[in-house]
Amino acid sequence: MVNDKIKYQSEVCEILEKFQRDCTNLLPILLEVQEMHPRNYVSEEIAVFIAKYLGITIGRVAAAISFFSALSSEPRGKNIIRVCKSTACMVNNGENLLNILKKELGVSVGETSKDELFTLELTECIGACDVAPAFKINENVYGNLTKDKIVEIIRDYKSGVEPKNYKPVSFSESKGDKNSLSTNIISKNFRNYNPENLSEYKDLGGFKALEKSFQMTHDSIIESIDLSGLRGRGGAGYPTGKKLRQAKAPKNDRKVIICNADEGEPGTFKDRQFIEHDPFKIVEGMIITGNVIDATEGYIYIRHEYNHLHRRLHNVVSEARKAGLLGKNILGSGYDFDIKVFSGGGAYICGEGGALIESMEGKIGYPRVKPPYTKQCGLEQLPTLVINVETLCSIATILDYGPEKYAKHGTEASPGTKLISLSGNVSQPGAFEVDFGITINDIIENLGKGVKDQKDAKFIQLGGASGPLIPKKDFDVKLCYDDLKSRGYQMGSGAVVVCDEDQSVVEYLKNVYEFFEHESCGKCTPCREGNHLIVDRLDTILRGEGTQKDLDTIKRLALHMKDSSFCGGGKTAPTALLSAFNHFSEDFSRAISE
Amino acid sequence: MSKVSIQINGEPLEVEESLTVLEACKEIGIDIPTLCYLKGINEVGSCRMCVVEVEGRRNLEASCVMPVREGMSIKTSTKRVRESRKTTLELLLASHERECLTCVQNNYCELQKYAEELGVDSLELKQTKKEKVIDEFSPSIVRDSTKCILCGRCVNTCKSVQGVGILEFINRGFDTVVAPAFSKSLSDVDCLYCGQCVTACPVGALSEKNDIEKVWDALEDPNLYVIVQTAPAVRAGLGELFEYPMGTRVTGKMVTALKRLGFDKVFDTNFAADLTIMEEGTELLGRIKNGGVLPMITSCSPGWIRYCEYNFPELLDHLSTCKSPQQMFGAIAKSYYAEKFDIDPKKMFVVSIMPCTAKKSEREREEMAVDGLPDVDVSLTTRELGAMIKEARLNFHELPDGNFDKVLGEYTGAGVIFGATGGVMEAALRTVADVLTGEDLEAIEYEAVRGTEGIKEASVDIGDLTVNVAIAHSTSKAKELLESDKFADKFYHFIEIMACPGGCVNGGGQPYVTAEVRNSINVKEERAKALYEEDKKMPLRKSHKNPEIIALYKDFLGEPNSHKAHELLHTHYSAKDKYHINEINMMCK
Repeated sequence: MVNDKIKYQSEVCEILEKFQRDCTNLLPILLEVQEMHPRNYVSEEIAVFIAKYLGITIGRVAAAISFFSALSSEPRGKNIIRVCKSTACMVNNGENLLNILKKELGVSVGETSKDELFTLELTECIGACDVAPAFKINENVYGNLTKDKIVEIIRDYKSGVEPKNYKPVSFSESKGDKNSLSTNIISKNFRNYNPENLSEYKDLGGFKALEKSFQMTHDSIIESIDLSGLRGRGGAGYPTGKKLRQAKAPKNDRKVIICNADEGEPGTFKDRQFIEHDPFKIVEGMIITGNVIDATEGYIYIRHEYNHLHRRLHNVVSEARKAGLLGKNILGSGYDFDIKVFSGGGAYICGEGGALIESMEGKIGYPRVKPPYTKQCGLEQLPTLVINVETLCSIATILDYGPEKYAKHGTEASPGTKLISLSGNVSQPGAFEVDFGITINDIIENLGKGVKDQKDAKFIQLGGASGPLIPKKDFDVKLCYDDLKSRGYQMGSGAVVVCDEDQSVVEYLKNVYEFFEHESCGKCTPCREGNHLIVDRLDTILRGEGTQKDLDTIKRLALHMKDSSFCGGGKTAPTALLSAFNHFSEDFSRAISE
Repeated sequence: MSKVSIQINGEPLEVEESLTVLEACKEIGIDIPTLCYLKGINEVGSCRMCVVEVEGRRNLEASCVMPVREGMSIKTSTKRVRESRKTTLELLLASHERECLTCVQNNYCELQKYAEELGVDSLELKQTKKEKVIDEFSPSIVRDSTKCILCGRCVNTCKSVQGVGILEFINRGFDTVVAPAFSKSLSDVDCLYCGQCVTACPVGALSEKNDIEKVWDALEDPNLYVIVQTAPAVRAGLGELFEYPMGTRVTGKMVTALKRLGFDKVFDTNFAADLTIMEEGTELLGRIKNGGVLPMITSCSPGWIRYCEYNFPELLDHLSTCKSPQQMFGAIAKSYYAEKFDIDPKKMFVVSIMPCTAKKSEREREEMAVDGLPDVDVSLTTRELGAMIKEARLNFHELPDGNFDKVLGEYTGAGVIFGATGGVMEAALRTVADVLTGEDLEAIEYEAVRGTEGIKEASVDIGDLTVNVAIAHSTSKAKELLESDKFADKFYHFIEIMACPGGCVNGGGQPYVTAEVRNSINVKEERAKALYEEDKKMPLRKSHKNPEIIALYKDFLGEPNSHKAHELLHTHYSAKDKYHINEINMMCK
């Protein structure tokens, strides 16, 4: 209950002022208030205070706190340990790190240690799959964890020091080595400059594409993109030229472009590479694209799980602004444009355009009814283009590199290159840029240096949790839109999680559907109820109590979700199951007969 | 409006381009099932009951939010569509506490209806909900999370119709519940108890606090003198519970039913409505003459009172000090009537039948008592009365018409129309006009204040005075009015506010109306018609002409706003603030 003097009042006031007391900033306000609080939560008292100041209902504030995984209404420890439970970490988690942590801390998941130093939480994919298994302590990511490493890290945190022997992952550990099969067009700058130094970026040819674009007509830029054959790299694969043309069509004084950096598909960490190694390219891609579609304001919506990278984006945007690359009359072109960085709250569904925008308006992340389409009526009812990080970086690259030359890469039907995220039971995980047309076999054997521990591969999951399981017999499939489609697969985000011969398909699926169960927004019936029932039935099967009826139910629910869910999230969630039914029916039969 | 050509199940059709697929289907007599859809209130496409096949679309589409397009071809009952709807129902039922036989919505439930009509033949899916909350702490509304199907109709009714936003989707995914902030009890938040969420709920997740047993017990208690009053809107709604068409007035049968249930006397709240006009009209004239706080705002609607106390405490002086008719009735019954007929008021048990859930809470207010005796002992909703009649096995259709009992059952047309938005205003104008002009005016129908427009206003010339009035119904409209420039400029003299859209006829205690019916007919207007018809038929249509009211003043109260009247019939209000939110000063800068 609120008394007339609340705790941390001046701190909260400062945060409210910083966000202009604007209720559309509810999510960033709550995130900052929580971070300010020594117990890492938003108390009811403060929530009421915020509601009053933003002129919104207490219910709305409470709903947001309860919706977003990053927020808590319960006091937590000084340090929050978030253990990744997603696929890539699971398949690399021989020692069961969670149990080690529970023992070390003397708490269960969701609990805070008695000394109030630690709260143990589970999290969905934190995009550190290349160093799996991994966890985060506050903003620090620790990877390649072993029992000894965990014990030492916790010990150091307990004594209040940063772990001496184990630094947080800077991600430069991540290999992504040059290889005869990897290429470097869009990833050309990675690790070649200090990613927060604008002049170093320029030395590498940075902002040449932007300068060039100001000499071109908008139509000719879009034609170049058409020519390059670029398709959306977020997962849906929609032709980018067409998308830009649609986004350009609505005329309005104010228009918005949002760079979707809410990379939430488990096993995917390719957008992170750009944020980490080439953030100026994102800015450049946004200005070019913003100009083409007449956007007046830009946002980078970055997932909360990447909070260790937020500062980098803020710095880069501010450097660009200082250099006159953002703001009024950019490079004398007459184009005015600026970028803000917006943090997500820990919700996979906010990768969906409508839900993303809802969360940017201070609401819970429920996908929106379409029509109206985002491109006509998006953020604050303004025409809005939501576009993926890699797509934007590709646009900037293509203008510089030349669309025809870019299109020579890849295959005829899938021209160009793609940044893939390789993880799981593979010797050399990492992000690799490849020409479309590389086979899964080559990805595993040449880029990934084969399956770990001389084992054999059993299957991969392609494109994240919402992607299909591809059995070994199909590893000759080429990573390109057409060849995948001909075998009933989809590219998705281009994540490749490799599973070895020892991996149980049913167990893997249970992990995938626990992800969807946790990340379904809850708005529509099929996805909300379906994922939970699927997990329940998979669990029954794993306990050895499954029957054919359970399999039938799972299949029926999967088909129902695919056909009848509200948004793309629910429609694609069953993909893994349906592919597994196609290719691993024996595994299922064995699981129910055992 | 231009038209588009579409096909529904192969049948070519020209429809207006503004229609949704759902509405287009309705035009040719196809009732697509819906659960979350409430036209203009909840158009979210989330329950997925209304899916149809649209040619060229890969997946099934929700027809409630899909606009028609030229050349569209729609299929509404293919195997694929039917199976999908059935599976959706099964999924909803898997999470639903299937206590249908004992549920308050048994036979009214939309989920139950579809389960039957769409042929659900298996209940093998069963989920265990993680959180089971039954919130029975408020005097008015019960929330049962185990029945909730998360359609969001209540959420958006509370948010957009009432502008209150108490109920929200809390948590995410499978853990989602509809609840107040921090999952508090409705009794611990600034809920109005208006019950609009209850009328929006397609299942039994929200219902009134059931007080029927208290009434049965009182009726069987030989020591108690049990009397009942019925609010005007009840007669316009009760028939629906017995399959009468909406808008059928069942006053006579209702009276007989109450007598057969065993009430010692059956009275009418309309009597107290007439009394309210005498007190409120006099108060208004007094405020105008003596420079009191204007505009004066009506105080009949307890939902509105709660809204004002929580959200506009600075306007409490504007509220008429009159108790609501429910409370005035009780106060007069336990004083004047008890005295007149030599009944011990302590042994008197006053039941009221109200179209309202908030009345249950109003009854409990400390101020609503005289000498420690509560004015009203139990307040039932129209639905609860219907349930009692059914339980007593009274064949409602066969009941002869009865008449209200003498004295407190006497009323005028002015009292009847209290149940519709604008009714209190019109009744007041009828009396005020006569008083100010000293005449018995014949023009008594004030059309400008009638109808279901959200905010209505009128300027009425009475003698030398132009009385500027406004009417708002639903609290979101009330807010709009109270924040208008005209209000700030003190343009109005008198304002009527009802918490429920349409006024009491559409109150939170009225019979359930399915979304299908709500979406196709104007419930508020249909029910209001019944009241305006009764008014028209009444020999007396002005409150001050009610002979029993005249006698009450002559024999007991003296004159309107007398000391005694104040003691019995007037009250006061106080700022309320569950979160102590109004104590937060503007402390940032």
